[in-house]
Amino acid sequence: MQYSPLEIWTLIALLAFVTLAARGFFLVLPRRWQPRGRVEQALRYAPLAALLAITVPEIVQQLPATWQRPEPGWALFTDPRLISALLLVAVTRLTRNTLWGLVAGTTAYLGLLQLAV
Amino acid sequence: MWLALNRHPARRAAFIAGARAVAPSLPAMAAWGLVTGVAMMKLGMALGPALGMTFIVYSGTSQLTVLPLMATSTAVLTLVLAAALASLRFVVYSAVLSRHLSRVALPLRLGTAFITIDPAVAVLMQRQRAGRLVQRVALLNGANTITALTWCGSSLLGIALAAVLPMGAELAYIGVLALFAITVPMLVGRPAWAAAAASIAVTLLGADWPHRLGTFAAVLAGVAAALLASPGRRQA
Repeated sequence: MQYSPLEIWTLIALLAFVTLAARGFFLVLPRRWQPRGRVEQALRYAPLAALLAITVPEIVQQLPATWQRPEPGWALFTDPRLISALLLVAVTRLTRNTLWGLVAGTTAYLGLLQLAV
Repeated sequence: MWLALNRHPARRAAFIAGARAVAPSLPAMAAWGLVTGVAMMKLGMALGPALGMTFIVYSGTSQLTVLPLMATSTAVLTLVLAAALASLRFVVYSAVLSRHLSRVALPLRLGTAFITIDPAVAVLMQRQRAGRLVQRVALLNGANTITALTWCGSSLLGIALAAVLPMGAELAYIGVLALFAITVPMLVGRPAWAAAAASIAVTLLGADWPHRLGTFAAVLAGVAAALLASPGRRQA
C-alpha cells in the first residue's frame, strides 16, 4: 500500500462524501421526485434484498468447486458454509430468536471447518 | 447525548424502543466491524487513516470495497468510483427514508441519513408494516446510535487486536453468517419471499459483475418483485 498522507486523507474525505451523497440522495431532492404509493411500499423490502444480495454469494461461493469433487453429494453435505447457513435458518425459525440461530450456525461452521482439515 | 438533550417523553420512549428493536442485529454489526478493523490493519493501513475510515467514512461497504484495490495501489479516483458504485443500495435506502424525514430540518435530516445503515432501515420498515410507527425520527436515531456505537467499538477492537487475531477468509465468513441471520426474521409474507427470490437470483447471475453492480441490480430486482407480489395489485 503506497499512498502519501495527503492522498489517503483526500481518499477518506471523498469516501465520506460518497457515504453522505448515497445515503442522503433522495432526501435533498424536491418532494415530488420522492417515491410515493406502491413504489414506496415495495421499497420496504430493499433492506432484505440488499442483505441477501451481499450474503448469499458468500454462502454458495464454494459450491461450483464442490461439484467438481469425486463425491459431490458427500462434499455438498459437509460444505461448512452451506450447512451452517441452512442450520442458522432452521434454528432461527424454530426458536424465533436470531441469536440462537447465529450461535448454532457459527458452531456448525467452526466444527465443519475442523472436520474438513 | 441525544437522549440527555431530549426530554420529550414520547421521543425518549421511541429512542429507547429503536435501540431495543435493533438489538438482535448487533452481533452481526460487531462481527462485521471486527472483520473490517482487522482487514484495514492487515492490509497495512496506518492507525490514523484506519481511525479516519471508521469514524469519518462510516461505511463498511466502501471500506471493504476499496481495501483490496488499495493493496494494489489503485488511483484514488478509481477507489472513489468503486466505493460509489458499491454504495448504490444506500440510494435506495434514502428513497425509503425520504417520506419519514421529509419534514425534518436539513442538518438533522442529512445527519440522520448519514448514520442510517441496514439494520436501522430494517427496524423502521418492520415497525411500519406492523403499524407501530410513532416518533419515527427518534426511533430511527435510537437504532442508529446503538448501531454506530457497536460498529465503531468493534472496528476499534479489530484495529487494536489485528496483530494477534488470525483473520483469514475463513473467520470473515462468521461476519457473513451474522449478516445473513438478520435477514431470516424479515421473510414474512408474499412480497418478502418474492423480493428474496428475485434478489438471490440476480445476485448469483451478477456475481462476476464489476464494482458490486450485481448487488445493486439485485436490490432493484427484489423491490420490483415485491411490487409485483404486493396485494395492492389485485385491487388495481
